[in-house]
Amino acid sequence: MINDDLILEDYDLEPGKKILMGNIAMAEGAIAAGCRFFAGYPITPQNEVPQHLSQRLPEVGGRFIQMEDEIGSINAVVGASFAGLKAMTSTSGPGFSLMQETISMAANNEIPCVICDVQRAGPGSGIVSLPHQSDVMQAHYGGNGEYILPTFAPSTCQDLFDFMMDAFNTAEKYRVPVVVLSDAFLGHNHEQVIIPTADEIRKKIIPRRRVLLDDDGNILNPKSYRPFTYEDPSNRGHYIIPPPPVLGTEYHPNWMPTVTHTPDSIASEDPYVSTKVNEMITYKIISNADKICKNDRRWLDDSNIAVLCYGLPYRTAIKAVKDARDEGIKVGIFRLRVVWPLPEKEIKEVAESVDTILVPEINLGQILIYVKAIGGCDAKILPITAIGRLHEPKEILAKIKEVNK
Amino acid sequence: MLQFEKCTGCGLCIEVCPTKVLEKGDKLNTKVAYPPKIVDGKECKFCQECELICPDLSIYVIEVGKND
Amino acid sequence: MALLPTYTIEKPDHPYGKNTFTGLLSGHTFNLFCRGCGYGTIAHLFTRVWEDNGLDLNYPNIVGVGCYSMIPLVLPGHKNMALHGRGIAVATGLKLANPDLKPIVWEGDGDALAIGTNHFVHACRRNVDMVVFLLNNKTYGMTGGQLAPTTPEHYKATTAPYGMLERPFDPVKLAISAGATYVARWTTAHPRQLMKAMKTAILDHKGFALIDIVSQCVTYFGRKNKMAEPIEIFRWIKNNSITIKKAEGMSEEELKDKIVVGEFLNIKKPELSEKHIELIKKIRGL
Repeated sequence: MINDDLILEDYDLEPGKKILMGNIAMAEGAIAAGCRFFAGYPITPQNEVPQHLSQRLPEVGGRFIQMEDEIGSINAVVGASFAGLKAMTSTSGPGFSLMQETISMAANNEIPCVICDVQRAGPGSGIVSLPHQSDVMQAHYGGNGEYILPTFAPSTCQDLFDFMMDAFNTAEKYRVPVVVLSDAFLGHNHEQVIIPTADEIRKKIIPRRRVLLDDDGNILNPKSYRPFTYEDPSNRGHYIIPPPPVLGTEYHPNWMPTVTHTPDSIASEDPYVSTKVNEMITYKIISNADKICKNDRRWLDDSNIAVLCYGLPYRTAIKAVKDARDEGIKVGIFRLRVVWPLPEKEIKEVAESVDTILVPEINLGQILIYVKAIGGCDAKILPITAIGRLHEPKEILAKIKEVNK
Repeated sequence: MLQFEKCTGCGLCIEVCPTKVLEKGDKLNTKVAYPPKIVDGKECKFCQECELICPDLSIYVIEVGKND
Repeated sequence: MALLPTYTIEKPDHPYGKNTFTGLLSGHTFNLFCRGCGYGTIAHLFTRVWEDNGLDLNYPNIVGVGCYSMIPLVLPGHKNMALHGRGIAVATGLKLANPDLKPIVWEGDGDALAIGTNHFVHACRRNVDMVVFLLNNKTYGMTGGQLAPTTPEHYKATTAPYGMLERPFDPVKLAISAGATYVARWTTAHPRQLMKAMKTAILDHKGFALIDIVSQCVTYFGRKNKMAEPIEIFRWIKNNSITIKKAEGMSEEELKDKIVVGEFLNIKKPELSEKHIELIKKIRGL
């Protein structure tokens, strides 16, 4: 038993092909990944997620609670993560803005959790049923202070199921809150999802334990447990990330403050300690970017135009690129599964090998600025924007033809 | 028993003592405060009221019957 | 972090305090509160209850933000901090995830009744099994003595130099009408009754327990209202405390500025995490 007797550790749905709505696929992906606590608040367009989980979580021994607002939801998720359960919440744009203070605290105290943001169009209350990749910057820069959260951008319902397992694994391994960006169209889309067997899932996920094990698999001595990430003294720039502390057992520091503290959990007012903490929080993710990001590159070897996309635009971009290649235009596609951290090395390689990079986004260009900063000297970077709707393949195809002269 | 250096001189123990055994002292300690002293002729009843009220855990009863 | 004290400690040492944070660091407890602050007394009484009853790691302390954020220095057990006003929400998630734990939440009057009122009221309604110590010094001490939802009318604060114009909250009445099941109010002038209430709330009661502890803030509330010495404000609290029985016959005019102390409510109602466990067992067929 990893946790307690009530929790069912293995996934219980039959494997095979199913037709699932996007929000439901996301919820089932969370259960497959081992999430056994959900706290949320109703907000369109993600209402199906708490509705589905309120029925499924008691079946697998998990706990569901509808809290009184989004701030209470994310704080309850933090509390459940302290107690040793994998926890998640789900919300939309306005709720994500409310949660920022706690997300910043969770990044400081290295608390693993998953936050699903089913984005809606426009600032303010906007239009609840239209897609808009509006919170990409907010996922990185929303809270106070500097931190970086791994941010996943699924494009299909199968992605929604699979990326949840990757998100929980990333959260456990790197002890960081993880954001999964879905949106109103994808959440309400019905598509085929192939569900793997319970064995395959068990081999893939990283479990959360209440009794911690060391690297050899033996029970860890509580006295030798260091609660926070620390820099390897023999290998500068390399961070050793211990498993998260469990409140109620001896694997917990005596006092865990929310203010800046040393890796041994002593609060500090020293600017050098603050420097080290800030560096650790950002660089432990950026230095592992090649392990966190797994990107798709197709037809880039012989191309002089590349289309760089993530999330929903991938669906139209792949059709436009295939049509262009059928007409003989040398164009390739570079799809990001993980938006933050941006794979800087790979983007620079692509920029050096092509003349133009097109960046279709359903916003006014949020990663465009970064792609320009990374590859702007080596290639021309041009946006293709649309707001509140999917691009049409002929729009992207027209732009490809325009730059192909 | 009074930890002389730990006392901050707030005077709450003097206030709560039922037999008025304590009064404000006249020696300064390192915290620039006047810890209390025992008035001659009064008897401590070991009721522990001073021990319970002290915010600094500076005054306490060690043994019933011993007057210090 | 404060430097360890340089003065010598005479033997024998204080009987309590070995297992607090500072006790484990340096052998004896010390705190960083102002001279005469009531929080040192409250932490001392809690340490006595902890060590006399043998409480262990199943009672984690969740501490909010305020002057009492430094109270973990003198508390035993494991201490975790939460954001301003959100300690009760964190304790709700903690309790549901592991029902064997009973969180002890230390909140201030601004924490629980201003920014965190929403979480406070809903936790009362849900009857989550936790103990909330509401440290009520009628001001916002840490940030400089601003007015709080519990500052009495016409008293002065740094953001109310002409006197407080608003009426204050009564957390006891709020908790009772929201559905809490153990509600009591004591002050730092009643140490023995306070220890007994702490023990009842922690060990003998299952459900949401609130203890409103009125304590003295000498540096801000006292100085702004002409009670600059710890003895003066202590006498003010002690003389204005009346028992529930005595307050029954008094009119609203006479009850102005009085602090009604005692145990207001102690009933048994079904508790939230028990209901969740029963539901899981029913659905999974265990």
